[in-house]
Amino acid sequence: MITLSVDHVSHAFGAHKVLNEVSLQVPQGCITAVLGPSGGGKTTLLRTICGFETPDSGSITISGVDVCRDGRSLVPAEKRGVTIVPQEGALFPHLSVYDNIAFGLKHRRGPQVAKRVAQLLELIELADIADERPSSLSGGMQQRVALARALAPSPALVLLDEPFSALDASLRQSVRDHVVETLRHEGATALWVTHDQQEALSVADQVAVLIDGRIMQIADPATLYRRPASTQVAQFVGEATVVEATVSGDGRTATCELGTVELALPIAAGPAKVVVRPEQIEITATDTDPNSSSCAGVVQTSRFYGHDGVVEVRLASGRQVSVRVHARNLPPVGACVDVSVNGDVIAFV
Amino acid sequence: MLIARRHVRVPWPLAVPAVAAAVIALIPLVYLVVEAFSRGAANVWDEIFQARTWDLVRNSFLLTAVVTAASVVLGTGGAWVTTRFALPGKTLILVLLTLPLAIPSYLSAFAWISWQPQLAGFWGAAIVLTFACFPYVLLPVAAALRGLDPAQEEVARSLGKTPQQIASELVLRQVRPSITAGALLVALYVLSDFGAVAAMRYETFTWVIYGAYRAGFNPSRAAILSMVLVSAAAVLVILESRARGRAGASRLGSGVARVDRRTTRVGAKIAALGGVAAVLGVGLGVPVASVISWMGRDTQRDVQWSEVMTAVGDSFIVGLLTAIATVLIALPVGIAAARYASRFSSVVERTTYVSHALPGIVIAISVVFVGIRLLRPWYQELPLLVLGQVVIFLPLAVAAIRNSIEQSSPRMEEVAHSLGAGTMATILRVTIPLALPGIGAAAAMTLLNAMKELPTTLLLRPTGWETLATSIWKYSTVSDYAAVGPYALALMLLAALPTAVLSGLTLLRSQPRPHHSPVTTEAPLS
Repeated sequence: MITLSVDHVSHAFGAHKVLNEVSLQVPQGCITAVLGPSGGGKTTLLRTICGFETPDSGSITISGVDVCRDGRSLVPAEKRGVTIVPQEGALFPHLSVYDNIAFGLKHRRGPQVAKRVAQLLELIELADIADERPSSLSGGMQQRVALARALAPSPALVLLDEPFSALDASLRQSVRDHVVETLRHEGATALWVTHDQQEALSVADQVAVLIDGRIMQIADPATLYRRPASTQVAQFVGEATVVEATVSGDGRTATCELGTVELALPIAAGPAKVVVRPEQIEITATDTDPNSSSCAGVVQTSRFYGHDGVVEVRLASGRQVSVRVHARNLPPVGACVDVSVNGDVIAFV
Repeated sequence: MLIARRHVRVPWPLAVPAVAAAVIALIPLVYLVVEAFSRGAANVWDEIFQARTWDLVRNSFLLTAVVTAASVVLGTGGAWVTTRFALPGKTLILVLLTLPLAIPSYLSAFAWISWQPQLAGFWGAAIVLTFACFPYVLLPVAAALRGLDPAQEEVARSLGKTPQQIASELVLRQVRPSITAGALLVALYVLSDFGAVAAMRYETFTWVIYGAYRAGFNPSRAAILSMVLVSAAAVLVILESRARGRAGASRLGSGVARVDRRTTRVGAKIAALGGVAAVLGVGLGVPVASVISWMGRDTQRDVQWSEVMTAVGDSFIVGLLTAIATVLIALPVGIAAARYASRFSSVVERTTYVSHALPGIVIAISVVFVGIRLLRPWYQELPLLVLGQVVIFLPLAVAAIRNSIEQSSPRMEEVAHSLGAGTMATILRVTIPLALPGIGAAAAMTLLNAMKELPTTLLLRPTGWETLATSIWKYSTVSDYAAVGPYALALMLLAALPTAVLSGLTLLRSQPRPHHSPVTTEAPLS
């Protein structure tokens, strides 16, 4: 069953078109990430779904009910059953944690409410802070309370608007895992907006890439990474090197400056572009003189990350490519290396 | 992120009371136009183009210019010394310096006159008004100076600027909007002040308007002169909004500003403390000493403490009713202006600011006018007095409430909507509770100022009512200072505490604000 259906939604602020024919479907119980650069229209998409903004055209359907259509809002924000976890949490500072979580429940007092709030506090592992004020909580705790508040009324859909951008990197990972676990436990349907591709790939069942107000691709994380729909998506989702290549007669291999590569999907013979991920490129050190014409590539820079490293290699053509290598095998700067591609790649005409 | 505000409609439970507030605020203006033209347009020109009118214009202008300039110097200097010098008890000194706000101008005028009768006239009025008004500059400037990030100045030093260059190019430039906003308040206060100029017998518009109405029974002339005065006030407001400029003090980027650790040379400290002592001596010492000396003047007569207590009670009741009514009427306007920005809400908001430029005496006369025609049963009853006070203090309350609502993030209300709370439920459960400290401050400020207010109370009080203000006025005008003493002391004591608390709050909240609203939180009074 489809919980959220966004159908050809467009919206402009003055002359600036923020959303351009956006269509998107979120099945029940699914976590969908909307991934895009800042200014790409992600927040506006969220606000139109919540009902804080009415899109100029298109329609949005939540649990089978049209909430807006052709520039008119049919259901106000408070009746949509869509709750939100904003960037900064936006907990009500005048209410205790308990009252924050109980805010959206039909009745605010009574055994039913106490049970539901206790259940959520347990779920976010903050059972002992019910009476605290939000100001006394750490950033990570505030985000978890904001999530509990959004889940309390069992909404049809939960929206998460870059929920961890205010947290520092060390905290983000653990809070994120916790939030995903909580969403799964509640069986919630969620739309999760982020500009962090790692976050999108690791938390979502499906990822929608939104760039310049357009949905570029919707796919599960693995497909999105391995079979990007365009070179733009490929370069936005993870690192990628795009090189010119010539596709062979059978359409299954291509020749480029990285050698001959296998294509994941056959395409027509002739000139094309292939997308190569840094971890697909293999380099092996050679004794060849870096200045000789037989040297395939010269190491320009070498960044050490602990468990692995990234090496920039200048190819004979002058192009520079990034290569991810095991930390043990980091070649020195200035060394000559042989270059090859491991596994199949995607080609675009 | 852009947020469009195209389809904003103010919900009717807010819109209806907001319109009612605007109608109340328009009473004085409607009255002025009707009354001024009651004897035909030709009469208006005759009244305006009299030599005497120009004398009044000159007198009022001179007094306004001198007091405003002196207040800017005293207020900015005081703010500078108390925020940027390493003085012991800086915050306490600042709060002490705002205490002259607790002394109504008519009271300190009588205090000066009884001590130095030869000061009556321009210089007396200028001294009294300067020391009554400079806190209007001091407070916003001190708040702005405290809001500046010391790191800015360290950066400027590292770029080779001298302390003098930093003061003029960096610091003063950033607090300039606060200085001009304070100067506007001072200028409007002086233009509309009645008590000090009347006590000092210096002929300005307000005193002559009161005379034309009270003694001359010439309401038409009073109205015409009022219109000239209102025009002058309007010009000031426009000039200030032009001069304010866009740049305010702001701290970009996140993080808390570090604590300022400045050192000051001993000589400078002594000079600063001496200056502060002199200002406090003139602004607080003279009135307080005078009042105390009055108390000891006539030992033959027993002080009627029961009458004093009745006056305290009457003042407090009027103040409290006014505070409650003003806040209730201002709330829908403030919420609509802060949260439902549209042409409708901005027109309504601006309309309520109209009376900001009107002297209390004009407002009082207009409410009498309406009272006699439309609210006859209320004439010289408590409701009409409260109505008059509401009209005076509405701009102050609307601006304070609007500011405090803007301090909280609209995200909170969106979250409440998404959790199923409707428009009114969100206002009651989120918007108002979050703004409660600001709303409380608005109520306290209204209570304080309503207790000090003189001309409206004089004209509209129920028969037989004597508040502290009217009692002080009654005995002072006949120079019976011994009788004034207890009333004056009671009023100063009642007003001092809320003034200190409100000044402290203003300084505590001296973080950068989202933006300045048309009227700052304090307004000219009495």
